[in-house]
Amino acid sequence: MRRLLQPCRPDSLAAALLAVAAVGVLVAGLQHARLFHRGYAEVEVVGALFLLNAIGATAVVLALLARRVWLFVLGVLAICVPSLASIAMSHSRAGFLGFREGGYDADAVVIVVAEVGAAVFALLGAIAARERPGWRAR
Amino acid sequence: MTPVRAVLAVAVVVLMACAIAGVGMGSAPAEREPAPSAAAVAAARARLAAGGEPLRRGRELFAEQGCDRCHALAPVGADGKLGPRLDVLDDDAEDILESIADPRDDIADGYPERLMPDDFDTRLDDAELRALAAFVAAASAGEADDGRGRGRGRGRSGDG
Repeated sequence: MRRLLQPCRPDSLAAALLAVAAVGVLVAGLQHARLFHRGYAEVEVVGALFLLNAIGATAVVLALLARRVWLFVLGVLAICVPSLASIAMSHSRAGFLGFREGGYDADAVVIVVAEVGAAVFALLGAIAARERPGWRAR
Repeated sequence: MTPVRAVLAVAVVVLMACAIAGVGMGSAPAEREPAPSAAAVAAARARLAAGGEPLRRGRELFAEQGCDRCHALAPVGADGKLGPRLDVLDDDAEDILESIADPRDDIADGYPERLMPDDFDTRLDDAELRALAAFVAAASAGEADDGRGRGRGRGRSGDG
């Protein structure tokens, strides 16, 4: 827990990878906020989750800006993995919390690409930060 | 925190706060559609009450299949905004049945093309599809005989 909250300064490669992850999670959060106001607000539970995604994206990017790298990486995974699973479920026959979608339109594709990218780059950034000698706690 | 990071943090907070508050995010296409009049809704409710078993089953299916999450249908209190309003349709039950079975055939302007599932014809049997279509047709308040005629039709626009 202490490490999670400890400020640290990754080297330039790790910082660049984490910055890309931050852009990805922010884009997905913006898209969720946009869709919330474009009709998803009325979908029970799912609408609230869209709003939570946007709030969570803001929080984790602020964590990165405050140099809480591990909190950022954990936050990105905590947002993106359940979100991607929910999108996949809502496009399946089973649905997600009773909500089903027919196909991946442009809005869904933007979210999937942004969240997959965010999760991958966050993990790569975490690996780079651990393995490179430039990594140090402040 | 360095000045650059502080500026970035403020920018992120302002951007996301605006997005979450809905500034510049637009609105659901269904919000631009006028709701049916109170008289038309009352007439539709009367039709549903007098409709018997098929309409009752159709109403159950409407909820079970999650239609109410995406479509507004005032006579039964459905307030979905992702798809077109179903309470101002001028389609008959046969047209609605085709829309449910093949929702991509004709999409109403401004609505996502691939949002509505297109597998209802395999999830529901023929009797269930007909009950659902008959229910939507009866509940369409635009059908009320209130002097305004039926509401605006939108062809096969993604009912279900």
